[in-house]
Amino acid sequence: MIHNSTDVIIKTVARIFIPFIQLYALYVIMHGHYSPGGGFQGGVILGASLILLLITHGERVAMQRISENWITILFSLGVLIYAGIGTLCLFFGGNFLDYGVLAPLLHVSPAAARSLGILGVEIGVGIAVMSVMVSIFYNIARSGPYRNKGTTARRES
Amino acid sequence: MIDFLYGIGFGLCFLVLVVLYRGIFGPGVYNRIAAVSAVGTKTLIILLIMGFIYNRVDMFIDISMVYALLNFVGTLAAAKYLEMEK
Amino acid sequence: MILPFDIIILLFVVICAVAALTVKDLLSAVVILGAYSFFMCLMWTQMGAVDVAFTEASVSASVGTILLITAVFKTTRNSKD
Repeated sequence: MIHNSTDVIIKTVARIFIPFIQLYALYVIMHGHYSPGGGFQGGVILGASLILLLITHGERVAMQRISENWITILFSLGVLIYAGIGTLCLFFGGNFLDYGVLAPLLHVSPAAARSLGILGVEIGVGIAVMSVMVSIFYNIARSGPYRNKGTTARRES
Repeated sequence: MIDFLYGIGFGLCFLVLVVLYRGIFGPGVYNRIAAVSAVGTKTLIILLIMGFIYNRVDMFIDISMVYALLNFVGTLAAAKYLEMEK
Repeated sequence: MILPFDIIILLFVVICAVAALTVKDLLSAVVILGAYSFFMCLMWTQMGAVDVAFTEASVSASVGTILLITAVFKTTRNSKD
């Protein structure tokens, strides 16, 4: 499935589409509090754009853009941002994910601190979901088809 | 105005039924891929008509844009599979 | 809750689900499940749940269909029954 396509139409259309899909995914993450969307939906759309790059341009070009080491670092970073903001609220004396107590740290009112805290959490969720989608697809689609009957027979004998 | 939009919505649902006949009974897989891609474009418009009926269009434009952008990725993946199988 | 659209889209959903179980070719079944996800998104929208419809659209239209096609690619394409 991850194979370099020899058709010029598919490569050109994918090359035009991918930046716009990523821009739209960032819009969905940032406007989660006002219109439908949020962290998870924006992360899935970002992952879909990278999977489109993998399908049309092949493994070598896509791995030059974003290697497998970076995917592993990114999904740990996403979870670290989410849990880190929650634990930072614990250090300042509030409950877990109680963003109001972060107000003296950011020099804003408590209502604005809650808004910024939710935005930070959504960004962490988006990054984590994007890397997990790309990692799952990359692990499933590698190294060609294998026949299930052959391996089962070898294990039983 | 609302009755006119309801009429257009029913007309589009009838078109989806006609296309779905090809999607279910079409001999082979190529007919079904083309039929599902056509259903995706009708779904876009029916979403916007529902937005007008609920009187809040600006929320439903975002969902329509998702379908407009990601409709062809599924078709592309199916075509890629059929190319690799030969 | 828009009642006429509710009944029509429910009919489409049932037709698509029965067809996806009946066909012998697994790739055609995956493509019909893609159409099933379009109709489920319409169903969520006419019930008023807009965030659920957005999640269904973004997951099932792109990533869900691609993962199912990759699963068919790794195993067989003809089902046994």
